[in-house]
Amino acid sequence: MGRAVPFYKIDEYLKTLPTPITGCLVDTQFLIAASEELHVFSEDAEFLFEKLAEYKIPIFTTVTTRAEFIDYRRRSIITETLMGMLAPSSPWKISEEVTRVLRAQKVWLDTQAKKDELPLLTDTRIKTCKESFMPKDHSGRIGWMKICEEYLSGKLLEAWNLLVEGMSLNYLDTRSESVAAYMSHSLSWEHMYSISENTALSSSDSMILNTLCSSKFPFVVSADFDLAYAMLADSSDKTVLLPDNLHYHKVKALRF
Amino acid sequence: MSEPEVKIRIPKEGGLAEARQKLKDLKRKSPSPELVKIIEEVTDGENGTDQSEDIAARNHDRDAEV
Repeated sequence: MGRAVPFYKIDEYLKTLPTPITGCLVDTQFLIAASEELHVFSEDAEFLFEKLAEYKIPIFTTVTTRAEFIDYRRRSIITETLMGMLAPSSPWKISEEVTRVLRAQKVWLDTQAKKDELPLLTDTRIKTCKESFMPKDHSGRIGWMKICEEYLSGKLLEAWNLLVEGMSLNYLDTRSESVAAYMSHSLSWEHMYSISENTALSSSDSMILNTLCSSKFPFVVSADFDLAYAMLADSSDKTVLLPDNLHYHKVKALRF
Repeated sequence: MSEPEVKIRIPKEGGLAEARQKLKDLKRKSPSPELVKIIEEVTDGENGTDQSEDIAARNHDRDAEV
């Protein structure tokens, strides 16, 4: 069965592994926690990253983590930009109607923050905001696209590249021939379905676990309860490393 | 012909702190004057985000006059 190990036990855990350690996978929540100082697991992520550096363990991402991180960054930039329009010192000049739409989103974001959830607008909420920037007089100028051009254009790729550079991330390209060095067997969609069906795990997380189970990597670093739950329920010999608080309060007591 | 060797990156101590700072710096802080003007036109904005307060203040003054 899969195992869950808290970050503080990483030294102890790594001693149990055969050397050299080929590498490890990371999930999107870990990357977000690593990149965002205000994230509830920010310090945990920094601690774990420094440990991986100390032990010289290569970090691998997949197409799933890359896509999810870019999506997080998109929502983060748009959320900050829109909420910045409500700041008292803001240079923006927006109508009362747009202000009302944005204030409604701010109330929701504040509630999220109080629950220690990431204060990011959902796509449904972003769509509501997008609609409020439609031209009123058919002038042909599309305000929303201008906002995207100034705040998003080129920034998603640059953000990913900065993260890759700073964290020395490797990309596990499952289509390349060189990937064979890191895989114990080929990826199968059937196994991915089975992982998802086992605990109703999201398809994105199922793809990460599927890759881990097919790889030579002994563990995945995560900050996600769902992924940890699925790992424990899986019949593989793989391990998920988790922030101490998450492990202690939600995962430690789980028995399968 | 052998395949070119893929270089594996190893994480470096302190690398994350540097990445965090660069990611923070990457975010644009304030809009260009051109964008402010476009948004004002598109949304028919008048007095920025303080508009509703201004309207409330005007209504208050009008009520007081009545």
